[in-house]
Amino acid sequence: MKGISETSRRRFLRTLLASAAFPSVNQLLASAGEVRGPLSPWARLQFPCRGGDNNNWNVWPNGDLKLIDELRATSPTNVDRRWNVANISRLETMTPFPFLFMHSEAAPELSGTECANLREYLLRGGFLFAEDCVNGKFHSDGSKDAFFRRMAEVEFSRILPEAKLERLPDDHPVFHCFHHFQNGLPHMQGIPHGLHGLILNGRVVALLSPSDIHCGWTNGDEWFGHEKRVQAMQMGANIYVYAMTAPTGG
Amino acid sequence: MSHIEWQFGGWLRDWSALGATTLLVALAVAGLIYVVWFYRHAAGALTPRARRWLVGLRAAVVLLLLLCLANPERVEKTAPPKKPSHTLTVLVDRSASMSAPDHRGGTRLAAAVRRWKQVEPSAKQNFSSVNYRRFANDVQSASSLDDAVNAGATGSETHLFAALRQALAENPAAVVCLTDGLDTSKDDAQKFAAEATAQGVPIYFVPGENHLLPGSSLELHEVQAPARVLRQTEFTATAVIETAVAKDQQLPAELWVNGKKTASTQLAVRAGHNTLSWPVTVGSGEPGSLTLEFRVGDQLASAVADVVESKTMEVLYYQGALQWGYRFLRGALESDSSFRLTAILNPALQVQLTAANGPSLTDLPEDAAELRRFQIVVLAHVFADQLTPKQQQALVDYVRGGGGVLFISPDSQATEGFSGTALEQMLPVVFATRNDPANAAVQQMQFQLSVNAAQSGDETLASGSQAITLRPFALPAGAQYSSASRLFATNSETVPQFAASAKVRSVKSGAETLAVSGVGTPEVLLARQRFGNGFAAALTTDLLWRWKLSLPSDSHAVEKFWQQLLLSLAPTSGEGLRVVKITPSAAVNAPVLFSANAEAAPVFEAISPGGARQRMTVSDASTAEHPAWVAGFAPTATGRWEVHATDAAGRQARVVFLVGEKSVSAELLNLPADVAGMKQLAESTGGALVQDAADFQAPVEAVAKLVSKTPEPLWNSGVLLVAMLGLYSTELIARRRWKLL
Repeated sequence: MKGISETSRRRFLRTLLASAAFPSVNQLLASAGEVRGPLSPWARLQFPCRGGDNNNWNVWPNGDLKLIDELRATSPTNVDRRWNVANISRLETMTPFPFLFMHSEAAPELSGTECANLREYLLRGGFLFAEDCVNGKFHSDGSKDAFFRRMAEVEFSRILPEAKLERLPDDHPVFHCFHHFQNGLPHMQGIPHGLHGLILNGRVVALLSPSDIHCGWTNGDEWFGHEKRVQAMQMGANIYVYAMTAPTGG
Repeated sequence: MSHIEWQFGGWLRDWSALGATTLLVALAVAGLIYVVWFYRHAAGALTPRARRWLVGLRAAVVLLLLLCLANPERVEKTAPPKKPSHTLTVLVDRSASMSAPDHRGGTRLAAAVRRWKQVEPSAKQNFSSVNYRRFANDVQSASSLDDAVNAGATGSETHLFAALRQALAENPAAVVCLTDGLDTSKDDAQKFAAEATAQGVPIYFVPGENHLLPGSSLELHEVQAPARVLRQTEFTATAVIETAVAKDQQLPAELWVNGKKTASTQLAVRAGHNTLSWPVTVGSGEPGSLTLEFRVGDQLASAVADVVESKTMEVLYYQGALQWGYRFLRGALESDSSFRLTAILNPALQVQLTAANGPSLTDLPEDAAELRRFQIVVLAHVFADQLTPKQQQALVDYVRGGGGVLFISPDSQATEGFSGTALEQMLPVVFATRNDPANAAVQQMQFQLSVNAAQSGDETLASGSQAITLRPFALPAGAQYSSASRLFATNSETVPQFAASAKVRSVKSGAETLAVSGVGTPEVLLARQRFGNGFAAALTTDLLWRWKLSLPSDSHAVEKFWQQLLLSLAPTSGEGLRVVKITPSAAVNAPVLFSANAEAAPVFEAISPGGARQRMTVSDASTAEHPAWVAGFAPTATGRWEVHATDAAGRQARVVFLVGEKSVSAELLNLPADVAGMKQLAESTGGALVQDAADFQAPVEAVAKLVSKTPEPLWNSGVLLVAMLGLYSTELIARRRWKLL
């Protein structure tokens, strides 16, 4: 009984705090000219990896939330602080989100339906950021770019055969739309192939990164040093802002 | 000039002369009877001589008392010296309509002169001078009424308002005009009435009427339409009609587009001359050419508008906050090369947009001139504090000058910030504020969601988020057909769907609601209104990116929606080939002139009732500002003629008109005198319609009131009082002597 009362009281107080504090924060931000506009969603793509691994897509989810916090704090993007999941085998779970983050330690291995779903999503105007999680190659083939190479060499050509995957030059808008990266993609670990864009009708519909900036979001200070962590966060912000402001490629 | 009058003074001053005299005489008689009766008692004690003395003295006292009561005054009345401005100007209408005799031989001029002659003597007496003018096509001085009525020839037109304007410029005390009130110069009667009222000089009309059988005239003067219009847009085609009728009536008019009747109406025509405009909104449809043919009575005029697909539409897009809609809207517009997009993100966000296909701008201009190169400005997710007053004023000026603004915001907290701004005054809706019931309901719902989320321990709902359901747009009940409204008329996947919307308190009067929410209580989603020469529209939803993601990739419904929405909202530009028949009434063997507005000389061709074609000679009549070409020919037969004009670009315009035996000018249509119009105009200036002498009393009396009075008592009442007391004392002394006291 006591436990229930305490829980209810805590929930009640939390409710009051939420209802009282939320508008105040919003008003404060609004008055500062920041984080205004509609909430923008973030979603992780759920997909299968080589060897029937269906549980590798969700590595280090806290890295996503840390980037969202950074985006809300340092950029004008009003990203919803929720870790949504879109399942590649069900198109209707993907289309509520204009931006999908695809990340795993193992190399993806998509079925025909899954490729078709991702193709349809991109053609409708959705944006994909696919990145190699280099850290966990112990249970993969041991290479440090298995995800990158699989996507670049196999999956993208199955998803959008008419599109072209190209390494983006250092003066590409994705490196300059919010923060400026004179030397292109900051590199955390893995093989520095550079940031590649999947280009359809002259427009970038997906980005493929080999450099594991997501690990920079997750625990960059400890793993790569503070400067690298800042670069990873800033590049994450650039990718999200670029996706918001570049035209659809369908 | 002065003269002397007498009047009673004191308390009798306000009595009439007869009343006061009667009272005084009655008092005198009564006093004398009393005096005689009084001294009759002393008859035995007085000699007859003494009695006569006493009666005489007492009667003198009574009369002096009455003289004190009467207190007669000598009044000198002096008229002020006549000033040159205290003149009366008499205008005599010498146009042909005034001299046309009826079956009894009576003319309107004679009738008006007869009326004026009853009034003229008092006018001459009370005004320092009377100036006569005769007018028709212009105004001429006359030495007298006879000179004004008889000298010179009659004129072919009546420039009534011009003549009155000229007379008022001399600043007379009053103006009298002998006329039938029919101005044939196309001068604006209401504009003149406002000028005359402001000047404060009364105008008196002496109407000239007779019993002529009235005629009528009708001219479909011209068709105004844009030269080129974009596909799937709306534009306005206007017919300008001139007509003269004897009595109020309805005039049927129709618009035929490519051989199909698309609009008809009954135009209200009042007795007399009328210049009417009939604007009709026309949907352009698909590329091709549209022949717009107006038919009014037996008249017909047409113009051709080209419907084009690839005319470049310049769009300026300004965004106040980062959001996903821009990505999809930009993709939709850039999928059609006829749209050129210039995008600006609020500079405070410090985000550099990837270059769109239009010219680059760093911020919203503060000068309307810089906005004029765009057909439409889209303001998306803008907050009031992001736009400076100068930027808002520039937008207002841009729309007044013919531009278009589409305001898009689904955020009530953002829209309420515009309350009282210049931008809000331009928009077609009034947004709900925080205290409005509509918004209060939303806030209550969000609070309840927060409570539910906290109780369930679901952190993801703690901010009040909810599952997003797309809702369809719908046509408002009773919506009229238009290109814009057609976007919401079907039930297929082409009906747009939205996720969020801002609350609208009301749609402004005169604004048009184009779309409402299709589920639940209809909420206004899209409204538009004209503002100056342009328009302003408000879309209260998000930028529909969720709808785009929900549709199959082979669907282009979203792209079509945005393109057609902007096209339907964008104003048209340019002017089509316009042919105007200059000669109002065409007659056999009399030249008929036409003008056209083409840049290069167009080809004019006349087609006779029998089908014979005749090419017309064209001459340049351009001014520095406007190109113009004039062509003419003399019809050789009566009946229905056509004139075709074709410009260098192949655009055509056509005029169909009737040719009669004789030219019938508006002057000779025998329209009845516009008595009602004259009365209204006269009364608005403080004058009147003069139909007999009594109607002109007001100015005469007004002059009389200017006479000043100098009252002077005939004698000093104190002297009379002393005389009266002296006489009374004498009487008392005499009575004492004769032992009556």
